[in-house]
Amino acid sequence: MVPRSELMPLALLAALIAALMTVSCDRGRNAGALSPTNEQSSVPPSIRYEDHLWAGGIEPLGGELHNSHTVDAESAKAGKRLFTSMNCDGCHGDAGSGWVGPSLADGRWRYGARDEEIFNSIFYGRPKGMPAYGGVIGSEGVWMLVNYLKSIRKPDTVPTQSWIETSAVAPQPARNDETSGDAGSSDTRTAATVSKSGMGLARGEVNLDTLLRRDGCTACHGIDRKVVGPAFRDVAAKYRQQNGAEQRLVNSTKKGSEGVWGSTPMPPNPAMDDQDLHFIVKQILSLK
Amino acid sequence: MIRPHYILVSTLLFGLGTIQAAESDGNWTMPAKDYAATRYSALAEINANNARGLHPVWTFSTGVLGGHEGQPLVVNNTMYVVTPWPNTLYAFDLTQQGYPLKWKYRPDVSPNAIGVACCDSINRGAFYAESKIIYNLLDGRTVAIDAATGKEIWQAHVANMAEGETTPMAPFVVKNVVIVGPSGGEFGIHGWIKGLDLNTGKVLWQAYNMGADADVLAKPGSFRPYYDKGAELARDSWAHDGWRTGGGPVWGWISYDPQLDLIYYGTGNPAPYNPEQREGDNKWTNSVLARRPSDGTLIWAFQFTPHDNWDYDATAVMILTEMKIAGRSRKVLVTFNKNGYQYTLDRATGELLAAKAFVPVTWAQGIDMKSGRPIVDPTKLTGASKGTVKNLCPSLEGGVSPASPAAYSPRTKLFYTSTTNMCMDYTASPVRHLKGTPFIGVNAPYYSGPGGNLGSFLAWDAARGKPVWELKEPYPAWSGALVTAGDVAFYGTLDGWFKTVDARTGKLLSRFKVGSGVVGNPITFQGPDGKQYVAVYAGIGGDWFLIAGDVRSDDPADVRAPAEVVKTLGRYTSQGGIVWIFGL
Repeated sequence: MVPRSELMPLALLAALIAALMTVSCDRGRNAGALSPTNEQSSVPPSIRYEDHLWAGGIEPLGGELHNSHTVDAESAKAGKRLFTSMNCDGCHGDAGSGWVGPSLADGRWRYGARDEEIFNSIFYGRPKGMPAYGGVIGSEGVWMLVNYLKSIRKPDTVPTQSWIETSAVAPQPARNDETSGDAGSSDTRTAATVSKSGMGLARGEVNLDTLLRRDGCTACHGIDRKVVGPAFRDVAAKYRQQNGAEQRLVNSTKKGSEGVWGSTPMPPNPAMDDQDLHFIVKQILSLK
Repeated sequence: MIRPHYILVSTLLFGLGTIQAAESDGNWTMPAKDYAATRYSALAEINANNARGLHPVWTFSTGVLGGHEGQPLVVNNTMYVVTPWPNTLYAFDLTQQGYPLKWKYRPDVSPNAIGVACCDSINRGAFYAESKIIYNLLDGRTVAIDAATGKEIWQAHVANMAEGETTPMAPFVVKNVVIVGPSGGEFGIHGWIKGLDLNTGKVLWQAYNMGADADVLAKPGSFRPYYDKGAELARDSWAHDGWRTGGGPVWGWISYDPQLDLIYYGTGNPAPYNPEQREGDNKWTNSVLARRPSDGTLIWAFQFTPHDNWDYDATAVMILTEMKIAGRSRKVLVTFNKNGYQYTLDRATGELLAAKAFVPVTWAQGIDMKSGRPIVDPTKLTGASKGTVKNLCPSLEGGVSPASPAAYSPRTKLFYTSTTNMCMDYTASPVRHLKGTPFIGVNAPYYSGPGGNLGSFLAWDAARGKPVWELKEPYPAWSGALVTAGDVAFYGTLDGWFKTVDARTGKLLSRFKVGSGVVGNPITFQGPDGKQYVAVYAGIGGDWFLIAGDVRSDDPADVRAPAEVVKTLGRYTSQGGIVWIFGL
């Protein structure tokens, strides 16, 4: 984290804040940025003190971070896939029900409930062993996770846990996740990894862009920009002339891959629809 | 109560050499009481006739709310307690009323360890040797503390958290070598074991549990596994060099035979839990290994569950004893494996002598005595391509958890162990290794096994492969066991009862509600007044803290729904951290 002692003088700060207000994790402009702030700024990002105490009642100045994907079901769905492929469920439990890491499905947030506070938790990590994921999935991927976590429906009865029969206490909803539409009557963790993504949309109805966002590819790839993985135009340039490139890329996307473009692994995507995947790869290979 | 003549005697003994005083039965100087790991004490003052008079004589809140696994030590009228993270070490003066502290040691342990440790911030205890208390900090360091003053003598950085390694296990000291190993089977570590110099903490040797012979310290001429032939067994039993991220942690217990000069320890599960990513037997995960303590040379190894499909770590204690098999007395090693079988092996060679199920088992039809291998039910194999495999018993908590070590009485010739009676469904999925994050790939809900009780405390005759008595418990039993020459046995329950039972019949003699679930191991010792006492920790944790996370009360930001399989447990316990001493 940027130490607070590096806060800049006020006037410059005001200018920077104005500049920062326009910096978002917009795919178009900053899709490649691994830092959530403008490169020229050294103001710590995402400082919201509503839940903190201010000495003297004076709120320190800080930059603002904007979630450009807020009411976006596709972003939340992509985040759900990332939650598994980035091993979040290994510490937080399936659908964030809690395991070694705290529950993310109880409407309670140790480090703050604002989008940017959750963003910081994932991007930079937190004490007691929450790793920083910003270097692996970038801002884009982190916003998808933020939107997924915000989309998880919280139970109504969080404060009270009761074992006695009373009419006042509604039954606890099981650990389920509304975005997947699972009935989730089983207490046990839903197997998010085996749920299928959207199936076989008619080709005329969607374009590459929609599919890439829906299936979470944009967490790590831009069309023209490297994010974590290579830009799709670079992939096209490398494989376009090769025989069997389409099947090879379909396979490596489904099984996962490592070491071709760098050391960060591409996680497996076993639940992707084959038809959609072939379509996506064909489209990518045709990029010039 | 201080008795002057006893102090004189102790001082004389101390003068004669700390080893003598340390080894007296009034003390408890190492986690399992002795090198054979029997957890048996010759103290007989407490017996089946008077145990109903057992009552609490002292308590102390550790100030920490993680799972209190492990056990205290008592040496030279001092009780040593290691807490869960942040691993404070307390030294209590048993010669003074109220047992005030002599000192406490407060290491600076990284809080990141809490998140890298898969299964709660537990610690499995310390080891006393040569006037030093040796134990592990959760963040990958081993420390040696002066037992008289509490000053740190050395610390050694042995494990790397960035790789997913942590160190909750209790070190084992033999022949001036401190032996330690990492946890991290859920993080795809490359599991190892190390021997450190007792006086300096310098690494004397390091051996991996998987990989090339040179790394595993399997040398031609000295390595003689009983059932497997050939070189590079621990490398070639992994497709795609999976051993590099293959797990094989050392999170359990170690025992030692001074005549054979062998240490015995079990290794944990292979990584990831999806077996289709690591074809092959995956040696030597889920195995018992016999090594020379002075240089780590591997002498023999035996794999209980090859190509693990179910997370059956083999890190349970290996208890060393003599047993008559087919009329002949054999030096054996007895263990209660997570996979539901109790194994008896010849500890000189690794030959399998007996294997009997001690809990319901569905994944295998038995153990083939000729090859030592399980006869696996092919419909119970798991993998990402297999969808959900149902009705697997035992669950991945095991027929007993290795965190709950058994005890052996040479008087009754019975073994005493907690058990867990649960089954699971298992759905594997493909996962990618991302250093420092979980490398698992499974969804495995649990439910109770046949009978409805989730656990028991069992007295088992290993010579005949049969239970002798069994005390059913509503919840899994997760404490270690203790048995004494007074023919009484002790254990604790997840719903917070500490129980004393007749070691021959299982009859309940006394019990006390100790304030939180018991996941630690009881010990017994002689106080300065010459009387026998029993000590145990209360403080639910380990996997039961994760699964029944609703027992948490200290964090408003973590409010979980109860887990269905133990949905009433939260009525009886929350987290805790109390040291109890009971006496007559």
